[in-house]
Amino acid sequence: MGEFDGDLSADKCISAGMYWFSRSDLEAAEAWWTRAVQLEPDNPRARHCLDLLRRSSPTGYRGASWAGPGFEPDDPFVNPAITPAGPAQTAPVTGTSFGEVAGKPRNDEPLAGPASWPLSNPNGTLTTDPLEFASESGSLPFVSPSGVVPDPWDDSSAATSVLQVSDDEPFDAVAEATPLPQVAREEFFRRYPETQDEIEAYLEEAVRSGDLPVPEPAVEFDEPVELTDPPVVAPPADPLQEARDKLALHDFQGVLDALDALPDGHGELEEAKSLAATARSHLLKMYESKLGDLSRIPQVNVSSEELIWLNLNHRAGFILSQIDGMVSFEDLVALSGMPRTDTLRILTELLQQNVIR
Amino acid sequence: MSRDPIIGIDLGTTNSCVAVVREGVPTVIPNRAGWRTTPSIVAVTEAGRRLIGHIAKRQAITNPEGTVYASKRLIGRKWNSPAVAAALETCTYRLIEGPHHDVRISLRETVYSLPEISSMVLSEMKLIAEQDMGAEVQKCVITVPAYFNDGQRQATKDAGRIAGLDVVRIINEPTAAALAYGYGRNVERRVAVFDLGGGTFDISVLEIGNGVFEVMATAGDTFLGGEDFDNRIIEWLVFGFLKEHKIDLRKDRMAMQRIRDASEKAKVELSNVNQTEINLPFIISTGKGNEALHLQRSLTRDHFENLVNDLCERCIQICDKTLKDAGIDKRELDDVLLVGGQTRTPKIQQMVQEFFGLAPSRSVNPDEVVALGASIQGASLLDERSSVLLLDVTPHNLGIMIVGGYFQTIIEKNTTVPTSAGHTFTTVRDNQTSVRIMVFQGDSQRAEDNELLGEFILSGLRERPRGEVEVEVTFEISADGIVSVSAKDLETGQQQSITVTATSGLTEEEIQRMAREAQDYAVGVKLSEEEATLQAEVVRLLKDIGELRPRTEPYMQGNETGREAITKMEQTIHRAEEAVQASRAGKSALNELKEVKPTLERTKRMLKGIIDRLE
Repeated sequence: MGEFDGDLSADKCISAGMYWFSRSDLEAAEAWWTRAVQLEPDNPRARHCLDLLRRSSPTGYRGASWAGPGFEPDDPFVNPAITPAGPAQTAPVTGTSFGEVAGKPRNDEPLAGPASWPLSNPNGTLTTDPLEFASESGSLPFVSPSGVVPDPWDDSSAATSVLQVSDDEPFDAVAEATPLPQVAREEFFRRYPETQDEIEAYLEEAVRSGDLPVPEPAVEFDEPVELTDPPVVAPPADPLQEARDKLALHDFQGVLDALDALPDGHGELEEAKSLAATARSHLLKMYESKLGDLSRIPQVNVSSEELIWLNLNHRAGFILSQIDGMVSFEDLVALSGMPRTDTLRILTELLQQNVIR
Repeated sequence: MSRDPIIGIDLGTTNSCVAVVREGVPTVIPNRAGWRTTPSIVAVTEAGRRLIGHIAKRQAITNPEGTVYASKRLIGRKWNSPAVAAALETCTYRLIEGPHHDVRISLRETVYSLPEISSMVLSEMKLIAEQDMGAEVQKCVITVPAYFNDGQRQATKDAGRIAGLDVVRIINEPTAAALAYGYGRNVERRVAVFDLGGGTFDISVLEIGNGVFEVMATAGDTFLGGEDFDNRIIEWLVFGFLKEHKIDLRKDRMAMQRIRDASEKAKVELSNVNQTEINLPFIISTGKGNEALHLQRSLTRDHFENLVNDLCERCIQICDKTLKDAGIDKRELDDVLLVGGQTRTPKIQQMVQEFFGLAPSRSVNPDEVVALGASIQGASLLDERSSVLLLDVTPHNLGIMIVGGYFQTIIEKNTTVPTSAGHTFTTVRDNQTSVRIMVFQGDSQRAEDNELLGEFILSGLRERPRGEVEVEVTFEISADGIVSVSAKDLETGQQQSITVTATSGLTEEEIQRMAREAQDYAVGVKLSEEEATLQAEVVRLLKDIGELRPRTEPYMQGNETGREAITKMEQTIHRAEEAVQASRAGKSALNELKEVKPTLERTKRMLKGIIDRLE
């Protein structure tokens, strides 16, 4: 595949990538989005999807890098050394040898690139497309899990990688871990749909077989989002129903959390108020039973030197600073300036952590 | 002393103190927590709980709209006075106009008058004295600043009445300080009283001799005090933190509450040591999960003195102006008395010494001296042989409005009372048959800027060209501070007069209603304290029974009597648990707890008896 097919739409490629992404098949998704970028190097949605994919992997997933026309050498999509993606970087790939790892790069060293890049196909032709490379070589140039060196400073490195490829196994070994639609899976990798017609035919077949009921992206990326933002948790469809369920499960804090997700003004609904009151009442009883007599005067159990090593937030820090051996639990509720439930919860937590007695 | 004691109360702007003379020795009465002074702060929490003193102070920043501080600056003021206008801009609590053009405070949907707020502090002082003395206290002497006008003094008296106190005397704070200073000594001295409290600064000069205490001059600044010194440390900490972490702590109430407390503590420590550590762990959240930052800084005395140097200089400038205005040469002073906790700052003491050329007296405790003086005055009122005589001065000019809206002074400020003075005026229109005499108090040349005390009309004047009818206006101030004004047509002898009665802005009915409400509240608090104690005892008994029961039940199940006892015990436990739950839910369960407690005690004794037999 030397020339890109001009009839292939970047949007279609993005949609197809979305489908695979929603099925957790990141390599397939990357291939589609990479193709989209190939078709339209300036397509922000395609670039964003691709970047998101690289950030979304718990281990800082880096499939294969791609360099194509229109990219600058320092483009974060191309140069792994400057990409803002996760810290674990893939090893350089040499030919079909998988699992060779460069290890964690030092900050002052650029990441080593592939020994030969573009990749060299078995048939001797050069390609810049990893999927094309895979389709022709029978394997993809992914690194094995053992090859991905976890970053000791990155907590997320402990999470399971989506890639389950062992050193010696061929790519198909991931079939169990990242199931793909039954339809044309092998065919898909054997013959990459390139043209508009081929892609549409592929998608139609997938829909017909039930493997692709809604060939629309699971998540819309119309507007680029700030990648440094914390992940936005989608609110539950019906917070009130969730609150009812949580109450039935005696998850009283969960009830309050669910009600917090209600749209503005809906918190004034009679049922919402009633649920909140019930939850607070139960929480208060729980906290009071744990704290005991609220006229009791608590004492701080740790020295000021030890104190700063505790994992406390500023509200707990404030409550702790008010405990001076003279004020009672009830006084602390009065002087905290916080709702009674919050103050008693913090005091209960401090008591359970033996910070106070 | 067989008669009821009279306590002395220093009702301060920021702190209050209560003292009594015991066996001839004036003694400060500490509060329940052991503090010898109590913050004059009142708060109502979101849950409706009323807080007074230290606990109210500790939540002042986290509950600003529910906390009243420095109410003394507003007591007895009219709604349209400059002091109220200034307070409207700075107060965190809500001020509203009262029905008599007085000032009221809205706290959690309830409106309180200023005397009511002060009465809460006075009630606390009364309670402290009663707990210490083991008897009810009814009579007191309360101190007020020397510059307080009649309305402010009357409002303070009303506050005492609402608190259930008979205010037998109101005396000036510098007078009280001097009383404490001269108590037991035969001194004849002219002293300056340098009073730098938490919120105000006053300088007074007194002549003490042969048991007579005369205030010669008084002045001050009602917006300069120890809190300003604290604020300098607060600013230093906040801006240092902002510079270091790019986080503005002023936006977080909890952080500011801790910083204010720590700043005051650091300031107090720097009076005794050269360096102090300010350590506030987990002061603010970074916004990243549970992460919080710590505030740790060292403050030296030198640096603190740099921060507050201008405040110290302002005090000295006021002293200088006051002495000049009163025509007193500072070299004529024999002593300088320090009053107010802020005078413990070494820099203040040094500057006072440099200005007056005298080492300030340290024989009296600056926080307690005023209350001690008030208690001495109270004791002397009980002792008919006492020769202590207090001579007060008029704190402001007294006079009338004349043509053009100007103010004509009849009695100059700082005139010793009792006194009288007169001035002759003429008519301003031809054939003028009456004149309106409007009596004012204040220091402005424009009458409207001063406080109107009262007015009356002198009619029946002869019809003469303007300037020919002479009317003599005479002012008299009695020893009790009551002002009488009379106007007399000098030729005919026609006369009219008015007695100016001070008013706090409250009617007699309002005062009585507030006193009843205060009494009801005190009863409620006492009952709830009793209920809390009973509840704790019942909970303890339930716990004891719960521990004893498993050891006795197998034995008790073995016979009919035992099974019946178990049934009764279960009923008692159930009843007790319900009473505890009701009490915890805020429902009054005092009677139920009272009834169930002896039954629980019997049950516990029974179980212990069975165990003793079994063992």
